[in-house]
This record gives sequence, C-alpha cells and structure tokens, in this order.
Amino acid sequence: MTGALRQVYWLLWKDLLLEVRRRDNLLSMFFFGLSLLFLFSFAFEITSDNVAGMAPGLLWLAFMFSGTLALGQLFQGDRENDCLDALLLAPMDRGAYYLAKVLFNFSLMALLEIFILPLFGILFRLDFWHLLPDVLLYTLLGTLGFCVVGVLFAAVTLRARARALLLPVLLFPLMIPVILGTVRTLQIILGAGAAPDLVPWFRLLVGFDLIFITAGFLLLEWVLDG
Amino acid sequence: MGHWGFVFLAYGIVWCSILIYTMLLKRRIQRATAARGKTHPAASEADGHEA
Amino acid sequence: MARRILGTLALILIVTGLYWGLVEAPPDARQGETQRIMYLHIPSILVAYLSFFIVFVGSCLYLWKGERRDDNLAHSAAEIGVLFTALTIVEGSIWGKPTWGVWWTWDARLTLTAILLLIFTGYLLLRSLIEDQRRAAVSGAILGIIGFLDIPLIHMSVYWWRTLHQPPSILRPDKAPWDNIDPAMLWPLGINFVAFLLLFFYLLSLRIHLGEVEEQARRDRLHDTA
Repeated sequence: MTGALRQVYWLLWKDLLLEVRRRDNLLSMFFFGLSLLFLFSFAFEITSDNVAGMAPGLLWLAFMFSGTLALGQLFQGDRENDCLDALLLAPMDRGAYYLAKVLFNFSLMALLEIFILPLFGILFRLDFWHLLPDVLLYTLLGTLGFCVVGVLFAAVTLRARARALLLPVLLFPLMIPVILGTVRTLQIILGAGAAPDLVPWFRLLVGFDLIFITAGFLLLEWVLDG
Repeated sequence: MGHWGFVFLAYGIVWCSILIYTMLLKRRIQRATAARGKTHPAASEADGHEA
Repeated sequence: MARRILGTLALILIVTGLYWGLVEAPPDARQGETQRIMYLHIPSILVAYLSFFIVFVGSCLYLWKGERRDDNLAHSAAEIGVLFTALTIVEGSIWGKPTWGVWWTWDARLTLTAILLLIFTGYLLLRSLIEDQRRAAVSGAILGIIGFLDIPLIHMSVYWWRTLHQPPSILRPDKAPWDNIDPAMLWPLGINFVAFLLLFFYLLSLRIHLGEVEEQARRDRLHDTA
C-alpha cells in the first residue's frame, strides 16, 4: 500500500513540477475563468438583489468549463515524448497513475477556484466572506467529483477523432448530480437556508466521489492498455 | 374531450420510426453481406439466407 | 428461423395491442383519448431501461472476458435503447401538450429521460469516433458502466432538484402509474408491453446479426491485405 502511495506521490510531483516550471495550464485556465466572469456581466443583469441566487450557477459553469479545458490537456504532456509508453512499461500500478492524474487536475481546479471565488465577490459585490469556508468545502467536493469522472473520460477520448468536442459531450450529462449538488448547496448556504437541507446533497456529493473514484481506479487499466 | 389528433400523431410517429429502423437494419445487413460476398463468395452464400 | 418466428409473434401482438389500445380500451375519465398514448409510452420506457441494463451487463462481460460477442451485445442494445428513449420523449411530449398544455416541462422524469438519451447517444457517438475496433469496444464498455452507475444518482438529484423547489408534478416517482388503473386499461397495457418486449428482442437479434456480419467482413479484409 505504501508503495502505491509513493507512486502516486512521485507521479503527482512530476506533473506539479512541470506545471510550476511551465505554468501553461494554470495561466490559461485563470484567464479563461476571468473572461467568463466578464461575459457573465454582459450576458446577465446581475444586481446586488439577485447575485446570491445566480452566483452558484455562474461560478460552477466557470469552474466546469475551465476544468474541461484542463482535462483536454491532461495527458498531452505524457503523450508528447512517448512518456506515457515509458510510464506504462515501468512497474507501476495503473490505479496510482489514475489517482495522480485526478489529484493533479483537482489541484489545478482548486487553485483556480481559490482565485476566482474572492474575485467574483469583489466584481459582483457578493457579500459572502464569512461563508467562504463552507462555499469552498462544497465547491471542492464537487470539483473532486468532476475530476474523478473527468480524468477517466479524458483518457477514454484520448485517441478519438474530434476529442476536444467529444469530451464535454460525454462528460456534462454524467456530471448532473455534481452540478445540481454543488449549485443547490451553495444556494442554500448563500440564501441562509436551513442546514438540514444540506444533508442529502452532502451525502450525494460524497457518494458520487466515492463511487466514481473506485470505478475510475478499477477501469483506467483497460483504457491505458493496448 | 377527444384529442384523437394527438393520439394518431403519437402512434404514427412511433410505428413509422420503428418500421424505418427495422428496414434500415435489414438493408445494412444486406450491404454488409454483399460486401463480404465480393471477396468471399462462398462465405456470403453460407449466411446470405439469414438476412 | 427463430428470428423470423420472433418477428411474426411480435407483429401479431403489435396489431392486437393496436386494436386493444385504440378501440377496446375506454377513454380515461380525466385525460380523455390522449390516455391511449400511455399504451405506447410506458412499454417504450421500460424497454429503454431494459436495453440500458443490457448495455451495462454486456460492457461488464466484455471487460471481464474480452469477447467480441459481449461488446456486440452492448453496442446493439445501446442503439435500440436510444431509439426507444427518443420515442418515449416524443410520446411524452405529444401526451403533455393536451394534458399539461405544454410540449415540455422540467419535470423530474422528463428531465431524467432526456439525460439518458444524452448519455447513450454519447455512447454511440464515442464508438463512431474511434477507428480501432478494440479501443472503441473498451471505451464504449467504460461509458456503458459509468453511465449505468450514474443513473440512480442522476435520478435522485433531479428528483430533489424539482421536489425541493416546487410541488410534485403529475407523474410522481413514488407512485406507480398502475396503482390506480382500471382493469379495462390494464389489458391493453399488458398486451402492448409484451408486444414491445418481443419487438425489442427481434430488433436486438437483428442488430446483433448485423454486428456479426460486419465483424466477419472486417476480418476478411484484414485477411486479404495480410
């Protein structure tokens, strides 16, 4: 078990190091998210009256679109120099490779969310600073759910034609529990809703994360082989 | 309180679609068998009757 | 030969079902003649669910044993399932117009059916966009499994999304539609259900045969070029 954990650690370390040196994913994700926020202000009439109701949906759309961009690039680095073939030849657990990729995409999206959330509050005058820890918790739960399924399908569509289009087409319908779960919980939190209403959604999000991290861990082996 | 128009619209769409799908399937089978027959005449004769 | 008998039986039952549904069955007290659409609607959604269950079973078997036959089964069932899901939505929409006054409403069941259609058209799209047959089969199997596991979660989330926000709509998931049904309507429903089931197995065997012929043709081509 510790051996597998060490594999996850080093695989994740490799990706994070590359990201720190090159910064190509994070920068483009950040500017993409920022431009979405600007588009939202033109597309919708956001006032201080309705911002609390709209914020969860808008924020989650921004996170999900940026996350999909990141997923599309996730395996590119490993494919470019035949690094993927070398990794597969190495005595490595395929599940470890999956977990490392999930954690890497999760860290990218989490960093983006930590940037975007306060920025959203400032730009749209949303006074949610005291609720920020709760908002972040549910956003991260949803983000994990997005990544566990997303990484699997990024690998599945890797060798398909029109894969940049195919990935969101496959992913978004599967993401509906995550989208509804995060958007509703954030609406309850921001609308000062009752805490008991959060419980079923919390369970749903945790259940989604657990079911699909197990499924992805077991299934990625078939995707990478051959 | 009739609404027979809606009923016939629904029945019409359903059975026409299923009929068209069935015919398309049969044509696809025929084409695939014929394409096979060009290279392997004996093989296509063997399962030709099934289509 | 067996297929021809199956097809003939299905045809006889379809004609009987048409007669019972359109002539023998009395019009509904509240919904009038439009109720007759239900004799198609309920069997088609049940057949659609059955086919997605078969996709799941075929996908699991394929990943486990790696036999083409199981993949062909899953692929065939998915294609027929998409047809019947699409028909279910069309029937529901035509039924909804005179009953609810609108073609579409974001009712939990309607939404769930539409999401099913999206996921499994995605399945067909994914398969058509991957050249390599083995890789297409593996990718399809993974989507078939993940999609099926996701259905209960999507169902829960969509149901909560609607019921926590507005009173339950006419079709309630907690109440089976046949609970308060007249026996005079149960008969045509039963006949139509058996008819749809036979039709489904007829179409499935036809589609499986197509898959087999295509597979043989592919193998012949490979043989000739080699």
